[in-house]
Amino acid sequence: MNEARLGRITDEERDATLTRLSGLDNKKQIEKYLLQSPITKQYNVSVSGGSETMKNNLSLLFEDNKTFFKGDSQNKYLINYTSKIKVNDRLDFDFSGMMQFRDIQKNSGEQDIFGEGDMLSTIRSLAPWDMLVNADGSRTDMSYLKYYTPNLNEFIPTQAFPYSDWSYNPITEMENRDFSTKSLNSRIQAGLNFRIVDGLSISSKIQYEIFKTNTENYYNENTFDVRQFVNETSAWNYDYNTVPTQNLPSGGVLQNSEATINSYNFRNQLNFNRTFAKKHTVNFIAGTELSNRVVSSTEYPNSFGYNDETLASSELLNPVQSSTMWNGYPLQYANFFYPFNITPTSTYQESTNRFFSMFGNLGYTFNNKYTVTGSYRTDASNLITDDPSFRYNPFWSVGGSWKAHKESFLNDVEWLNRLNLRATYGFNGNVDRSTSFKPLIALGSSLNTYTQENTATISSFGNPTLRWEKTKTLNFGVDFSLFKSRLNGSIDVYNKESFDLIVSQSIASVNGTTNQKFNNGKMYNRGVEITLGTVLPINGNDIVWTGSVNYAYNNNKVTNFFNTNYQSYDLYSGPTTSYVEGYNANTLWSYQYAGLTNVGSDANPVLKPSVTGEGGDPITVIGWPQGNAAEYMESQGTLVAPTTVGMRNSFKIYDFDFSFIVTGKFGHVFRRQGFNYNPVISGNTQVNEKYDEVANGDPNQILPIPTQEGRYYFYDRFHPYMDYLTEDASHIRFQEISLSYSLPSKVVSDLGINALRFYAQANNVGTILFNDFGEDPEYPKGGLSLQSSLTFGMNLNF
Amino acid sequence: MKTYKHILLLALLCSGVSCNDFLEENPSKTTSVVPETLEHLEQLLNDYNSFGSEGASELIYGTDDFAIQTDLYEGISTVYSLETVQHGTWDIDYLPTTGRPYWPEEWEKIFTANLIIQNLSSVSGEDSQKQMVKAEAHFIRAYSYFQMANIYCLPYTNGNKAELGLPLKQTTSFEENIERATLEDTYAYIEADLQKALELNRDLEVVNGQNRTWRASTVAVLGFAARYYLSLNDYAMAQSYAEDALDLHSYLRDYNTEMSFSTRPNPVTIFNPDAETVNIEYPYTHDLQSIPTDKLEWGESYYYRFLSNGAWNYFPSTELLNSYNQDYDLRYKYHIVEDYTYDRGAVDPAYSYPGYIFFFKSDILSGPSVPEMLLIKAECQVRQGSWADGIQTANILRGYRIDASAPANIRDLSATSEADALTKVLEERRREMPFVHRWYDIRRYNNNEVTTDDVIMSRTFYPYTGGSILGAESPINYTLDKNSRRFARPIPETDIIASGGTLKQNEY
Repeated sequence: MNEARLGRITDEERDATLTRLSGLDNKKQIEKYLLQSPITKQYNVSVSGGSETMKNNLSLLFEDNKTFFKGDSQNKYLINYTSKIKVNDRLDFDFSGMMQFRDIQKNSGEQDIFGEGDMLSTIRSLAPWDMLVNADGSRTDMSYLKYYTPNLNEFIPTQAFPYSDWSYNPITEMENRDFSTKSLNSRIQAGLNFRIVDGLSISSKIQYEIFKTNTENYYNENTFDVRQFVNETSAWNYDYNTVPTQNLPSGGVLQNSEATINSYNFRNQLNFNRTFAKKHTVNFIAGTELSNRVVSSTEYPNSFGYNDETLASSELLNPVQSSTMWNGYPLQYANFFYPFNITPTSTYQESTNRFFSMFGNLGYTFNNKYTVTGSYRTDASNLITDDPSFRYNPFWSVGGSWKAHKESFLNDVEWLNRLNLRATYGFNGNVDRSTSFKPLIALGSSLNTYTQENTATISSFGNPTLRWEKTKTLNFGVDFSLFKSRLNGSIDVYNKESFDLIVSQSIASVNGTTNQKFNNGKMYNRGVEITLGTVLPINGNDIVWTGSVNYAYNNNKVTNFFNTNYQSYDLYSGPTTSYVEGYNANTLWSYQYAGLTNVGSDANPVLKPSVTGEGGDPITVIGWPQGNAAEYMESQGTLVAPTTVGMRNSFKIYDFDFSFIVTGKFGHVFRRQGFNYNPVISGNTQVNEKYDEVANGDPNQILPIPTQEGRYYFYDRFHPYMDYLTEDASHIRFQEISLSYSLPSKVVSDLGINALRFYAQANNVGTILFNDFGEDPEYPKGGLSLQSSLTFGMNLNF
Repeated sequence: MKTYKHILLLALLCSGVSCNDFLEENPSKTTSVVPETLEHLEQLLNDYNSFGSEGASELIYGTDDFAIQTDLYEGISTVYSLETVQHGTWDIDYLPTTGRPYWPEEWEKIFTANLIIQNLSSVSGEDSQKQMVKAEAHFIRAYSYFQMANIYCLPYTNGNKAELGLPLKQTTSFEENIERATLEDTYAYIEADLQKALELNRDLEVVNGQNRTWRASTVAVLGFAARYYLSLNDYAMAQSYAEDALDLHSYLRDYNTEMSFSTRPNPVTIFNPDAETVNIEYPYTHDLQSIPTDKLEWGESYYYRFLSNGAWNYFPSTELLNSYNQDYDLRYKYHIVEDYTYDRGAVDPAYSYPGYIFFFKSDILSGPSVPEMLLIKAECQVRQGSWADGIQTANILRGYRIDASAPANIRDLSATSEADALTKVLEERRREMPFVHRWYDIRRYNNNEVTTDDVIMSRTFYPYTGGSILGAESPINYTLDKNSRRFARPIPETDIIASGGTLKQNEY
């Protein structure tokens, strides 16, 4: 259409092209060439044996896993060995070792920092008329998605560049990549358990783990990525008759990185469990735990001109500092434009996490009826502080329970089988390891490209009042069993009050920063959880109904949080930035669409779409909204369901078992898909299915598509966050239905085996939605939808 | 049996000992480090991104160098954000709550300077080196305070000494009192920092063909001192520091030979009403966005600072455009970019208005520089009676700025009297450094011993509300009187609220 506007093609040619495109649909091609059915195959062998004093178990596993996209696969090999040795009457020793190797192929592509490059976003960016394959079976050239091809062909001497082939096709991309991640994970564990006297034992356990990952992403020179990179990094002077100067060697690109995690963990525990005089039971545990985890990673420089067969690579053809690219930008800029990095140095990173805990737990039960418990623990880590004692903060809890049904006065109540009342009260805590009392700096990982000097920036402005976050929990519960255990269940009510929460708060910018983490947040979480269950024999043991329902309700509220001025993006991109005092922590904030507003005069009106601003004044959607967003944006409910319900029923009918699981979430909201108001600069502007709703909509109810708007680029800061997109997220899911048949034991024993069972299971069978748009709130449109699956199987035990 | 007991005992002991040493290990070697060496502090100073940019809308829009004009608004209304107009008309009603201010940027630089000063005694390193880093940190602090005092406080005159100054932050602590000191104390604070900064003894090095202006040097401090004393109308001191600076570094870029247009085409299709392609001619310095190379190679600058305009809308006023000799002044030729509005979207219908372009679309060097020193020297000479010498000094600069083919009487300024010489030198100053110095200059012109240089700025533009420009109503007049209290621009209301009222807004 642009070509027609520029007068390069006639209106008739334009219309003919539009007609041709409207007849195309690439859905089948995408399914055929880019997608595959996910299949997992697993092979398992396990051997065990031993004697009275020693038990050994060795298992091997191989798994072959194919995911949604062609070119992707995952192989897993696992060896597991465990051994238990009874050294003598008092001492047990156990040992286990595990080794896992995984080989992951991801030739469908990986998401880059712009959120593109993976197959899902590639497919999403295709319009229905973007065909992958021509009628004759050859690959289409889709370079028009990457360039404005009329201009490319008219102004650029494409034949003179290192690669004369400028074509692009996603299938070719996938076939010519070799993205592989290999990881090796080994773990050994050894433990001792020593019984000192009756009821008193001491155990000690040590574990060491090493986890190595190596990623090699190879793009050969048939990929568009490489051809584009080599072509566009060539220097050129905009003259059609000039031959560009190649800066990067022809050939593939190899990217290589590795990461290692080394960790160990050492735990000692003293256990005591004994009943005295048949009335006094004492339970006691005390111990310490120490752990150390070092994560180090290295990113190697990219190899250019790399050939997978000869393993040869080349240097850059011209010095980076003085060379330019085809668009005149310096070659140093290449890192910003392409998925490759021309910096010739490696990047290293290392972090260490160390933890130390001490814990103790004492319980006393009298007469098997009355129990009091007390627990204490302290956790410390290697956070940065001037005062080592700050690293330790003790937390504790106390509790009591009463087994009422054991009281003599309830013995006569026949319908009551069990009644247990519980209460706990205690504190626990958490510390933020990312800040410290003192300001901290972050050192640059490589030299500054332009000054060749090391740099550093301030990474934390300091948190002089840093304290532990604390949560006070009060919990009451009752467990019961009634009518000869036909009905059992539990009810729990809790109130968690968190205080000294570390929140990012507004401070005067005079202090160097406008936001700093302080221990100033407060919130509560209150809720109730109810579980009811039954086991009901309908016909003796032959027909049995087992059912359970659980219901949970949770309500939270931020009770203290100081922020003087919320920007609209703080609120719509929550939740961490969108805590507002007096609101649920997961509140969804939206712009209130206010229709068209006249920014011209009465005589000469200029209508612009707007949203409600501070004080009710309209703010047009072509500029940054100013003022406190918490004042003018609307809170539309919580994103996390306050009410969840789960139900499971199973029926045993002779040798058949039938069961189903239904879950439901209620009372929350989500943002449905809206029209995507295409970005202005992107090469390929596809329109999603919500076009009609906008095109036919009332511009006072829904943001219209502008015909002429110089500041259209502001739209995407508004359109996804409009109030009219918010819908009820409640839903009910039929998660699982399963049916199985076990061969009667008589038949089985005749066959010389222990058990034989056949089963069929269907997962994700269906969903009932409570919004008018048919959108599943947990599987938004444009992503992978929830897939139903069907499993058939057989279990055989010798 | 005994052996086991020993093992167990050992295990318990290991875990029971104090774990303080175990927990001393730093969680990261790179991302969160307590500064331990002088090198760490130097690395903070090496990061020019932390200090270089000055996004002062007050300076960019608040003077008669910037076009707040109804003709431009009618041609392409999108060049004016509401904030642009509010700054451009010296608003005090809406900006405190709505503007995205420059104020926090400078406080962050001050925080870094304070962090360095505070840590110097505890880090390892040579004492003489520490002294240099210390002087540099004081320089950064003085520089930021000076910038802010000139934007958020009234001009420093005898009558204004008790007026509101700035909070005097001396540490990184959030507990420190942040009440605004008096203007007198604020200037005493700047002066004290400047004296400590003058202890810096470091040449302006050349590294890989680039002047190492991202780090402070003796000449940078001298240049700043000249600027500082000029702002106080202390011409003798200003001239003396300017001359000292010029003795150390006096390179000027000759626009006849060392300036050029970009070789990269910048075609724009406009509809007039038929489609037509126009190539916008930018100076070569436009080509690199966010890459400092051109700025560092520019050569005239002593210190890497630049005025940063995020809206890319340096639109010169008609008055500024008319101050150039459009035939021979090469500054006009290269920095005034014709048809710049096309690039900013005025293509259908097409509307042409030029833009002022220095580095990319957003940046103009603002740190002390050779041309600034020459102009300070020229002005001080004139104001102190040696007006003919002053004209001569200004003509040194013009030799590098005016087309070599220009007749001598056009190339060189000439004056008939001291007053005439002053006018000529101040005009030259405005042509050379538009947007960057104009605000500072008008403040001192209106508060010095002469009245001939006074500037009373006024605009004719549409009224506006907190939400939009009322383009349909009749334009009204906005004037900034000679001694208006609006010369102290409002500080952000968010800071006043966040400080719990400790910070006070300027009174109007």
